[in-house]
Amino acid sequence: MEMVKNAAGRLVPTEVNGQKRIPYKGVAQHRPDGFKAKPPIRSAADYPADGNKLLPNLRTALERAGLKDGMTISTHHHLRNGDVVTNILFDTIKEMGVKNIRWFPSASFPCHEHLIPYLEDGTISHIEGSMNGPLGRFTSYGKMNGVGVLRSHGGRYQAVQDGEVHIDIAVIASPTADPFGNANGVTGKAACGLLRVCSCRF
Amino acid sequence: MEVESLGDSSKIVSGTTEIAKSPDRLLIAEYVAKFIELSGIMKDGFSFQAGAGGTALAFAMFLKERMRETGIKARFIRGGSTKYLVQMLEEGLVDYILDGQTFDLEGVRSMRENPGHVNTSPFTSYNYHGKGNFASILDAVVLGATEVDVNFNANVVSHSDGLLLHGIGGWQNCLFSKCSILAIPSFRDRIPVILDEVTTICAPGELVDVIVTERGIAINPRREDLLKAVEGKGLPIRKIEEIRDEVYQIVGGPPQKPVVDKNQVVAIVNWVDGTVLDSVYKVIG
Repeated sequence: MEMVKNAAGRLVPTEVNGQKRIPYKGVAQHRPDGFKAKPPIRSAADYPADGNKLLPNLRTALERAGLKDGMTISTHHHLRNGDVVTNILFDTIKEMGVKNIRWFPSASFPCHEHLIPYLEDGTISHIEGSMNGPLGRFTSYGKMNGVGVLRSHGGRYQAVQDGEVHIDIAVIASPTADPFGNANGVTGKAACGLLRVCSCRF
Repeated sequence: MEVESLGDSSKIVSGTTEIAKSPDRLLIAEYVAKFIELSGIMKDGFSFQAGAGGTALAFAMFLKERMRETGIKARFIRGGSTKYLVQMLEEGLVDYILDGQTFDLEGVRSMRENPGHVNTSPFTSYNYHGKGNFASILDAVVLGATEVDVNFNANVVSHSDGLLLHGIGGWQNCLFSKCSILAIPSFRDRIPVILDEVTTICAPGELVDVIVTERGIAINPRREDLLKAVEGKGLPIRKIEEIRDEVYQIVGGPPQKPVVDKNQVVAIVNWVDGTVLDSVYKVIG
């Protein structure tokens, strides 16, 4: 791993998980250029004419979303340490035999310790997102396959927008939704408030 | 697809969203509120953000009391909303909560019922590569940290033993406020928090304005305006090196450097513009 000294005086790698990285240049010193990343074009022909997008289970949803080895899956942390959806998600991915997933959560919590076997068996290659507690400890001891990337909430959006990270599938745990896919977080029995940290815009 | 349960909504109030109880933390929170009042930041139409850490929540309680007594009203508070901020909104001490994340069920209720509790996107407000970033509009922001150093660099992801145990959240994004305040104890479990050099840099020192500890308040020398604003106001303003030395003496010196393998980077810390600010190394043992 080639390391260079950045403007903060710290040694940082120039390449991480096979991607080129720019060392920190100082506050407000790096100006991006080019254009924003863009989502693929969809067709209404691929969605039900009656507007009902409800599927029987997560496995079907992942199959229909085209889940494949090496994809990036994003989850959000509004349920904080009460989240079971992410755990069920990776249980399902494991069952499907899909490997090498880059997990792009807006945060992880001690409840996600459940995912450590999946980091060990290669279902998840690495985490790019905030790691609170057990997953951070696991990473610290060098047990994760890839290199973790820690970003701020704004940095997550920046990374997606600037084309550094393409999210293939975003899984949203919504306390309430209608069959068309409109969702909110303020009603329903697991109401968690707003859902704006979901990285699903792209 | 439909599921029976997303999880336990009582646990969405987890980790950091309880108010501080320890006398030291409460003293820190009180100092922060006094600093904001006496430096003149607290004036009609001001704005602030406090996170969901215990000290930040206690600070909001102290500031609320001062606002009540002086009749000063805020224009907006940036959430993470909690029941404490909701109380301020419902009492008319603030016109709006601009919320990025609801931290407790009172916040959820308020957002559902109150048009002054506005749902804002952390994407546009925190994205450094965009036109809608409003972090810099905030008059003051109160944050925590695992470590800071005498150059005001701060760490929020790892501990002095090198272990990566926390995420960044909106912390880096908030540093662009007009006055960024780190409210931290001067030591935790006999480990000093103000050091010669932080284990991992998450905040460049030039963006950290004030460090408030139970042993005094250190203002970044770059902020001559703040130093002047609080002159003669009776606040315990001290040099950061002085607080560091005092704590080193109490606990017997700086913490041991973590034993890490410098050849194995286990994680990187990005800055808000996507560049790489620091590396986290494999901890041995």
